[in-house]
Amino acid sequence: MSPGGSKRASEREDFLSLSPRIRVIPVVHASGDFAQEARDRLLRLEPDCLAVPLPPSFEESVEAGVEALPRVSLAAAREEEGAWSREWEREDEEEESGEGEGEEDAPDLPAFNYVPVDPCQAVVAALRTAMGERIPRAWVDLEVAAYDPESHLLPDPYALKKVPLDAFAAALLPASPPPAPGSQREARVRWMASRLRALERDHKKIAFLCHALDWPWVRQAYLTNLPAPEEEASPPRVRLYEVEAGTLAFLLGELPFVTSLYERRREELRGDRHLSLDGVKELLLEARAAWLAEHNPVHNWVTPQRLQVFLQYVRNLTLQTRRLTPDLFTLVVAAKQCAGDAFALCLAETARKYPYQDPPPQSPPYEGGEGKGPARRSGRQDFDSPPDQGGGRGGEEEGAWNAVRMGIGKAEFPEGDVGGMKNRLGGSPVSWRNISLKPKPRPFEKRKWAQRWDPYGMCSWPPEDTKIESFHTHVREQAKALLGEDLARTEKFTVSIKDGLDMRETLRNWHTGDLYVKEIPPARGSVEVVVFLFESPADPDKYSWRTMWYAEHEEESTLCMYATPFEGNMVGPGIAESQYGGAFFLFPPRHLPDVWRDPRLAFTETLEERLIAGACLHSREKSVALVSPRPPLARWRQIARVLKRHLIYLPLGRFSGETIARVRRFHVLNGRHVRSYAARFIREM
Amino acid sequence: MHLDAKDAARAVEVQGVTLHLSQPTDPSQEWIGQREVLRQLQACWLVVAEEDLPLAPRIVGPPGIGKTTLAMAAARERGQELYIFQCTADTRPEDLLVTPVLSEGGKIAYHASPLVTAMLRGGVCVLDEGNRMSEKSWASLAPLLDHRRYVESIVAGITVGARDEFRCCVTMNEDASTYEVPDYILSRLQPTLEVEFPQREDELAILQYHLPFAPAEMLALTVDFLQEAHALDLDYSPRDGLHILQYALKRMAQDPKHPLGQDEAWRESLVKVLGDEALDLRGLARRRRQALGEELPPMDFGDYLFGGESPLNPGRDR
Repeated sequence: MSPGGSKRASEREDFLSLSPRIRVIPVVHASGDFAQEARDRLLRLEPDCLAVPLPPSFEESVEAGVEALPRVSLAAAREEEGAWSREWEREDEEEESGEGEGEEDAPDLPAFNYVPVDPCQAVVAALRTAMGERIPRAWVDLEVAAYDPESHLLPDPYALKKVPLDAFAAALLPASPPPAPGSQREARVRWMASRLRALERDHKKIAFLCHALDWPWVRQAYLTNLPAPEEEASPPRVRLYEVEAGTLAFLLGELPFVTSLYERRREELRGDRHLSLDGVKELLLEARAAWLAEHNPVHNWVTPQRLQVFLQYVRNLTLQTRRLTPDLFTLVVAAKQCAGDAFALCLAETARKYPYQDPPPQSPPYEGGEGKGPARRSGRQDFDSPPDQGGGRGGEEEGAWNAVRMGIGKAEFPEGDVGGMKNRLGGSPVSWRNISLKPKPRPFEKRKWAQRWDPYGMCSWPPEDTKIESFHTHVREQAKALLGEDLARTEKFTVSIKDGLDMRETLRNWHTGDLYVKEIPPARGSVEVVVFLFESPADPDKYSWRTMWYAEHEEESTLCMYATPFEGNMVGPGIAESQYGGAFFLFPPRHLPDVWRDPRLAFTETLEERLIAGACLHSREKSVALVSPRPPLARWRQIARVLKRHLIYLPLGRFSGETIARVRRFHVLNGRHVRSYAARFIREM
Repeated sequence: MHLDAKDAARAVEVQGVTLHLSQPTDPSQEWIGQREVLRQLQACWLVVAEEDLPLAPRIVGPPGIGKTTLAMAAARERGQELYIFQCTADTRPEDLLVTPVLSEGGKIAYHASPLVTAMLRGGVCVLDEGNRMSEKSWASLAPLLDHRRYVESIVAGITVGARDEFRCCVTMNEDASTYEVPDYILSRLQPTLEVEFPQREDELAILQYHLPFAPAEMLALTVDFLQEAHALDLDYSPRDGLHILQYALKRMAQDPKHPLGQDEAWRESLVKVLGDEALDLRGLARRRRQALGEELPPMDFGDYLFGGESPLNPGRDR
């Protein structure tokens, strides 16, 4: 390094130093990238004390939570009654002035402030490292009766991969709002500065982890030697709670799946530098594997090319919101738009997976026993009784397992109490945006619906009828066009180009200079029956439901099909899902004897043969269209010949596999009344 | 070949062949509401580096919901010329690319389609109702929709490359046949952007925008009807609402001496535009309630994560 470079580096070091003994590590909370940065900086710095921006009341429970990692927990302190008042007063003022939107029911909720013990939190990562390296920890934030959270939009932490931490922190300086005079934030900043001064007496090298927007003001308070504020409150009682795995997405800074990848890399001692982006790619592959396992589509349309489009689209959507890494909403929306609802669902569910939280433990990692945490408050205000006394959750029996269900700004405690939650380590503000995506029903719902099924009332779902009718009409037209192709005539061009230039004939007669055109006359004969074989050979065990469906009106065909049994696959009340294995459509519709019981067709051996034989037997036209993934077998042609019919083969592959997969899936409704609401439950593929 | 000044401005020479360009469409339509889908379309067309390529999305949704308007609005936001090509089942590759026509003096002139014009001028092309087009026509677009970004006109014997600013999207009706669009084309028409029915305020604003002279009560009546229909999953679109209003207003203005009452005109218009069944939305809603009983219909993601009645469900109060 050049002398100039070393000078600049030293200036940078000074920039983040409060004194020769105190080095600041400014962080953005709820970010895996900052968690890495905090860990790495701490290991490089080798301090003799780590100061964290949390009050001492959280020490015991948070450290117990850190010990229990990778199981994620939450250390929460219940605030006293009316703790929300100041905040809500402020919001009322905002509402009056036409700003902000307050939640109407929040003032009635008991309030909690909490620390998510999340491995992708810089504070937690630093504590974890310090505990591992046996570095003493100091908890330097002010105890408050009611925590006033402040959230600010901050740059995407992934910028750290290109920008050093000091440059990142410097860039934030102009956007860092000073604490309002008399505000809690001002008191906290001054308190932290005074605590650092005290720590300096006992330690030579202190690493101080601080929010990226607070540290300039802590520095100012430290340098100007502002007096410490009066202690506002007695330390609250902090308890450690288990968090329900399904709701971790609302607690963790990163996606639960990505968080689990960080943990796995930690276990395997592998690098995790770009995991906030590479994790998304891994999530994508995992979601695709889950989608393939669940739906087993004959045609896999989530190809590498589709994934490339997906990633490109996600990148663009993310850049439009001025971020560098995508959020769950963007990922799910893009998955829905690139690969369909089913894939988007698989992706959403995979993103929520955090295997370290399952199965539920036999015993809690830590029980917030009476006086355990607050006992350290010597020299500070005493408290008379635990603040959660008589408040629903607080006095629960010792040893009871505390699992919290997290939501956005709220949480449901094990006994059903709901609390307003204020995150002490909050990242960028979170908002709920709904996605029009119908999730899978839960097993108990499926069982309930199956029990109520009336076997005597079944009908189809008209939009799917329209879809398959439209498809079969299209195929019939194609088959008719093939019939006419043999009759095509070529003639010399005179006045009309007719059905197009016949290039072959024109080239053959190139020396004459004449043009030749093609004429395709209307076909003689027609196609009445179209046979679809979606899978061949068809497994009789898989396609055990064989039936005839008769037209409800003149525009509908008579349908004979074999399909997967619907009974085990309920998707809504009175709505079951099935999949065609093969079917024939007869149009115009008329009544036919049941092909599956017709003794005249007893000579057939497979499902396909019976279907083709039934189609040939009942077709009044000579030609029967056959759409199949493979050319007709000799045996099928023989059956057609015996029944004096001719098969017109159309390969299934000429139609879009994605479309075929969607057309094959259909729903059986338990009575016509179900049609009025079926759309609410029927999911797109 | 001699071209006058006006024609010359709309003609370019490509590999020695003079192509007469199409006229752009005026993208003056306003896009009201649903900013998210407009943002998504703009995201598809965003490029971040020279090597980066824009995506060609499919815009889907029921007829009359504003798919083409969305594309027009996006083109206007980008400040680019807009070209719309109406696809039909009879569209042939030469129609899509370059069409030879007999000009004065018995010579052949080559006319560039709106698509090729957009490619040459760096504009936006909307392939409207793309699902109706045959595989053969789609096949001619395959190289345009991937990294190659060119088309080959057999008729004119030229290869036309697209300018970097060229953007493309396809609108498709879900109700019509899409079976002719093969996989290799569908995979190039990604992602699929779905336009949904508008919210009440947006729907009212849409009707007001198109019919600023319509009385407020009739606008409210129409929006109420459309919203009720959307809630029942019926495919009545804002375009249907416009037709209802237009016909009702015309009926009322028909005889200035004995104008028809607003309600009467509106009801008549409803039946004429949408048929008798549109009159009985209430009955349909009632039957649906009876059928569902006390069963709460799911489901969105909030219901799934928390259960419909959970106090944590952010969508509970919607």
